Amino acid sequence: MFDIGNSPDYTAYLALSVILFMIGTMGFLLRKNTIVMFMCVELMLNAVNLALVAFGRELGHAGGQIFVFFVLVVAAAEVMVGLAILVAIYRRRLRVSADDLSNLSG
Amino acid sequence: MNAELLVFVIFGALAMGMALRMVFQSNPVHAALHLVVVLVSIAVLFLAQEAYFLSVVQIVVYTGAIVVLFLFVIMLLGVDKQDDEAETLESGRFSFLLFGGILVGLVAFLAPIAGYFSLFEERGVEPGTLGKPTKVNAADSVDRYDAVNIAGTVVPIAHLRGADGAPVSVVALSPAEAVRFSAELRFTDKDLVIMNQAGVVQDHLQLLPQGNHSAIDPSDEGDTETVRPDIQVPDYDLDEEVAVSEIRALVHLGNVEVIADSLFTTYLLPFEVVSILLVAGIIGGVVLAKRDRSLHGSAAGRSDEALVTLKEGREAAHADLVTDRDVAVTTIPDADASLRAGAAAGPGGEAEKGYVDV
Repeated sequence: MFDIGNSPDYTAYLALSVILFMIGTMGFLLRKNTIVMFMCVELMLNAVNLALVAFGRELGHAGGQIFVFFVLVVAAAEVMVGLAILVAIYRRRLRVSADDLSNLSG
Repeated sequence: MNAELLVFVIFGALAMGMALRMVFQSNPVHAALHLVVVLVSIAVLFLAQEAYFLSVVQIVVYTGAIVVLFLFVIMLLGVDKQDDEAETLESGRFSFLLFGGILVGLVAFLAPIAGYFSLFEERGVEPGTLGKPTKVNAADSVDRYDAVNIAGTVVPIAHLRGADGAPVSVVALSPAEAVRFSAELRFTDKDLVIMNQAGVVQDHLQLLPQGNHSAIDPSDEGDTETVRPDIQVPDYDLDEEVAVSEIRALVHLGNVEVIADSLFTTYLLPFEVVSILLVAGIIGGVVLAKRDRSLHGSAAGRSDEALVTLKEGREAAHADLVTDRDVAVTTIPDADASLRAGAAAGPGGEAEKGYVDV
């Protein structure tokens, strides 16, 4: 799949990106601690960033890297709001485990 | 071994391993520290892909701001102690196997498919040749000069002709390419001078904005400029038959100039929208995390206090249950009545029973 001895082509970066994304998905679905779940979301966003940079480099388009900036900003805003929500939840319930946040489940 | 491959293997493996450890880590603080390693590895991979600016931004924003925010919240809430025993990963063993299978399947099937249906395959280019340097023989001669407009940056390129006269390749005349071009290249944003190794000026290409290029014949002394009709500046278009090596001009893509240029021209509107999003995020974060002092004493304030006592009661009950059953009943602090009934029912019952047994 990859030439040994040559620079890794973009499929190598894509494979790494898929692996990191899947690890993030796995963690998000399996962990109960909401903070760690957030970290897994960050990992998934980073995997996507890696793929975007690889595509941008391969296509010769600056858009790939520009889009990473937007993802960064969205990630920062998401973390800000998400962690504030966690703090608010913790004040009410004293726990942030996903098991305890089951009010909406039937 | 190729340097980029080496970097890719080392830091790719590091990122993968640390990401897995992050997922399996029961202590959130350790998970956050593993996340730092993953993010730095990804920053190094950005560097390897010549996204220099992005790599620095990645370190500053992610490890400098986001992970610090994570650690701050973890330590503020104290969840690192609380959930240590609460979460065991034993229950999800089957799910781990399932997701591991999906992961392996995706990599095993998607990556070769992606390689096969390469982005450039329909343009007659072997997959994976793009990232590699164009081989230029010493016998190659320059057929003509050209320029492409890549993301607003005019990049001069040279069409090369082999010793037999057949067109060989196209090289982007960036400083990085000059070594391969076996000629010294002086390159400013307005002016391109190509010299051979002896330092004799072979050609002099003046780059003008908007693609109106004029070339100065080296034989012309003085300020006479002859506009060469053979120099065309096509707009960068992937549908056009643009030779692959032209895209080597991508070497420039990591530059701050190129990124800033397209960020503030082509992507200006998304940039502004995203800044609004960021402001909304700041306001949302402050509003959500703020403890409302004005409500103190009212119903909301009292419920807040009740929660504090609830927490103390629960912690005390828990601690006593673990350490000393006998004292548990007496040391549970005076909390809310209903809460006390709820929190102390389990330990209280057991403790009384233990006392009777003694």
